[in-house]
Amino acid sequence: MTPSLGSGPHTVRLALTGDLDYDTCADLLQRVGAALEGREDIGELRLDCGRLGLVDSMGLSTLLQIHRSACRDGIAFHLDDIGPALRRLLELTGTYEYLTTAQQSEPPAESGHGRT
Amino acid sequence: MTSSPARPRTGAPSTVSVAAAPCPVVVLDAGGHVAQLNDAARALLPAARAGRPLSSPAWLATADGTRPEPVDGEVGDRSFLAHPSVLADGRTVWWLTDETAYRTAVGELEAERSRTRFLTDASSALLASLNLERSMEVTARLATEHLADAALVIAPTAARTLPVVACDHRGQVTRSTVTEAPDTVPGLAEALRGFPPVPSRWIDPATAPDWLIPPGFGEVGSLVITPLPGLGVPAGALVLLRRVQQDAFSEAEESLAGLFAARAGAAMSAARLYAEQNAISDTLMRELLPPTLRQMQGVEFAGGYRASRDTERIGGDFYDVHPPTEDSPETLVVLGDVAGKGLEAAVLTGKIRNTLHALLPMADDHGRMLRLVNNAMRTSHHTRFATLVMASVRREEREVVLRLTSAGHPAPLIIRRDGTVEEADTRGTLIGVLPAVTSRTARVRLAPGETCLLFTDGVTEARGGPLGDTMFGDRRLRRAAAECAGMPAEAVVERIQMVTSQWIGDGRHDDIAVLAITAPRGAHLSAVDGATRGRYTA
Repeated sequence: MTPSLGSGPHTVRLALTGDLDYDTCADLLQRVGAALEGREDIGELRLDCGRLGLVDSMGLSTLLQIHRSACRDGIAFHLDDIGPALRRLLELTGTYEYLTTAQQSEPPAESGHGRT
Repeated sequence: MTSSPARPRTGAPSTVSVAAAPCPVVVLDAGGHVAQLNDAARALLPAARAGRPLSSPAWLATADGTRPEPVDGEVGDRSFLAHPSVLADGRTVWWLTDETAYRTAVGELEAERSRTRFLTDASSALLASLNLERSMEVTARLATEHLADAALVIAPTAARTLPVVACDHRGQVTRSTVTEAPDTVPGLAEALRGFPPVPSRWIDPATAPDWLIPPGFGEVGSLVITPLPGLGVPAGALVLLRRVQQDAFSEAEESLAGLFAARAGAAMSAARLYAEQNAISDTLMRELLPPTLRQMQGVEFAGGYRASRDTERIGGDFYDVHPPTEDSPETLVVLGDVAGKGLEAAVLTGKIRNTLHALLPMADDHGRMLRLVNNAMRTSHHTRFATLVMASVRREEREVVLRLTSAGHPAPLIIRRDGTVEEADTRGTLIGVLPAVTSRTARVRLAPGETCLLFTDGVTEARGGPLGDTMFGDRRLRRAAAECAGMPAEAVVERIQMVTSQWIGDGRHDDIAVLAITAPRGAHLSAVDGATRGRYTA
């Protein structure tokens, strides 16, 4: 999985290629973190899924994690070019709308503390 | 008189006088008497007098001066090499060169080599085993062989007793448990605590308690306690004992003991961590093992679970069958899959199973139950989630009535008697991440011989086939399910497991869980065809 980076003035774009699974998800999380690190001016994060291979449950968990962090920081989150396999996974798990519609502010989770 | 170490050649540009030679020179005649010696030799051998026999050093006095080979030996605390030059008149000129520095360097190099060899050997011996007791034994034996006359290895413990492995002066290894507080030995408690790091500590052998000294050891000359530094945790302490006759520990030996202790400590704490990890895995595995199923309330239940072969990756598949209680008249079946592997997945699996169990009285409304579970599972720490299928099962005459709800999980397959396979019409949100979840419950009736099959994606995503990397997929699963029409629950599970196993072959796979709910065919008491209701026995 190799995200490639490109960013406009207020948008960070990452193109995801390869599989997003148990072995590669930590890498994606780290790269997204690095791309957003220390930048106050970013209003939008776009993940291009056109060349994304298999996404397993940890991969989906990672997308949810990135979405959650973006929401928290007031960054709009977009998944572009969702292929049929990813769409099927998102629909099966009931996360398609959640991940693809403009976010609403998320109420805090009931348990646990601290930033993730 | 002049002479030279080499035979003078005609026309040699120069000769060297004994007196002017830059090193000690002794000229002995054939009878061993000193014929001449220079100032340097006089200073080195004050007892030597011209005209008298050379008495010391003996190695030079008795050396054969007619052979052109150098001899060596010590004068006082220095080492010398003596090169002979035989003169025509039978006298021998001995040229002495000081080799002390060279010898010392060679000796140190040899000692360093043997230390390195010892440490290398120690490392490979210590790392050969991940068993703590074995590591302690190897440590004690190596220490006795290379560092001391006897050695004890003491493991840190939370209990009031000290696990001790001793290797005595005969090389005999014994294990024991000492019921004594570590603070009875000066420095031991600090060494066992491991932090702050303490240097090796000498203790007066007279103050050492009896249990520190192996039986028959004799009087202890020196005793040192060295902490065994572990990987972030204390690994124990090493006690080295030497007898009275032996030299006390030199600085070099002490530092060698320290280097050895570092290796032994690392090996012991690795063994300890491994043992702990294993114990945790075992406990979790036991806890996560799915229950054995049987027929309940006139409905057949059968489950099959095949854990991933990567043992370090405890998987997140689970299933449970909760029989009816007074609060909930139906049997509740839950089959699910937690994202990820390992400890975190295992903890989440345990949590979700317990929560579901506690919410059993709510099972009449799956949507509500899932909302409650979702709230309980949500945490800001992570976005790990679970997907699951719930099935509330009750028997109604000959048929089995099901309420099926998927929470982000592949929908169950309904295997009809005629071999058609339907997907239950249920869909819902995964559990544990989203602030709100929705779900749609399907109602399904199973006629006798019909089965509802619940499975995790370990089945459909199993990679194998002729090329080894093709996913088993939905279509193959449906085809396999169709072949199970009319089979009892047990047989359905076995069949699906067999087909997926054949597909996977020797390949790696995730956890695979399958569960079948079947309406029993039952024996008819009255003549009715399969389509009408009648009396039956289960």
